Amino acid sequence: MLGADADREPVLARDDGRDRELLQEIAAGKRGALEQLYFNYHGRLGQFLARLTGRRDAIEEAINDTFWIVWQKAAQFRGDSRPSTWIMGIAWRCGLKALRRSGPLPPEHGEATLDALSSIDSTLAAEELREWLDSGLRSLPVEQRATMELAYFLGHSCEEIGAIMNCPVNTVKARMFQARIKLRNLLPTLAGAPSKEKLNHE
Amino acid sequence: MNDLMQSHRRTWEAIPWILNGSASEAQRRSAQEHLRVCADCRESLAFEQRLRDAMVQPPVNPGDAEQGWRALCARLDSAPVRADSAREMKSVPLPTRWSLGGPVRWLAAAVIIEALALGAIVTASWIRGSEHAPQGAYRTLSRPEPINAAPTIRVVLSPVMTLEQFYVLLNSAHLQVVAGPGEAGVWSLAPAADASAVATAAALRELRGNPQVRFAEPIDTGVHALPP
Repeated sequence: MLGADADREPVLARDDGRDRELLQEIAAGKRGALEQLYFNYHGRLGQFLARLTGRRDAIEEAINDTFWIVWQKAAQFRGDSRPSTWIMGIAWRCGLKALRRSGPLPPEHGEATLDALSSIDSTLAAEELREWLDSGLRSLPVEQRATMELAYFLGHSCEEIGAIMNCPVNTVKARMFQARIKLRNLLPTLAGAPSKEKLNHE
Repeated sequence: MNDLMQSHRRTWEAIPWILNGSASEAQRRSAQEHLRVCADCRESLAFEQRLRDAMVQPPVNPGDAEQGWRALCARLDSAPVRADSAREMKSVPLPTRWSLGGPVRWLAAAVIIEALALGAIVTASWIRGSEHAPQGAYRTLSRPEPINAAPTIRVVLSPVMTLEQFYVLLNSAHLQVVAGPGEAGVWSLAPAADASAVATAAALRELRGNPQVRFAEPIDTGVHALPP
């Protein structure tokens, strides 16, 4: 039952060794290494920051800020954590900064209502599913949204997410718990259950 | 809370970490046992699996990476000296003036121009002061007699320096104000007691060691020639 997922590799795990080498080269001032790392992370960071900030205009700015800091601070990476944990920690802080600068999400991108979600057909195409999911994620507080993204999209452990978001592991667990409850109630079709159904875990 | 409820809770909390591969072996075994007997948790696992599958879809529009990289390069080019590079400069030879980056070269040029301009202003002010103002006419309201000492040093202070800081500096350098500030902000100072060349040189060192003193130069009176 659980073995089906055992061979699924987290998105960033496979690149750890190469990323360490690249960070060492960046610390030595090699622009080519920074370029490689930039293109390796651009898509993942783009999605993470898109869901974090909810604003396309803030994404490139946050990615630029992230790699600017990577360039400046690469020598300070001591290998105590995975390179992806270190980079995502920087991206998280840059994303929050971008969020503060750009202000709250515009109303049309705001909370996903049950009525809106229930109007979506159960046989969703991938594109519709993505939009629907993004809408549900946007309805979460930014910390819960980022926790979900770091765990499910980027494959980070509970401890790594604590390091990235600079918070205790119990806080990560609490955020994940609350996010899952909310999404379960907001994404009924994905749950394969009536829309108003509530879990009894609360 | 009985054992079943505790197991239920533990399993439900472990599902995300089991799915993303970061759960411990003990967590996986415990969850496996519970899932055999709990339909709710099996259904939760299936939901979370679908949720994760949806979330790991590659982004539709990750943005233009090429354009983003060019923007980052432009930013890097505009500030070529990294924070750590500045620290490393202690152990590497200083770059020649031709190897300096554009902004650094311009900064150096600006400092030189500022120093030359300041020197010209001080000189002009000094000449004008010599022509139009009688020497030794400076007096303060708390001092009934004018100070007749000949100025030996001229200084220009940072605009952020307070009067109190200036008094502290004058005391520590054993100096007193003879004239100023002029239009260019030039103060003429004279020794408070010892007017020897050695004392003047010591006062100059004191003034130049203060970061809020922009300019401090001796006045060549012919009497107080500094030692070589």
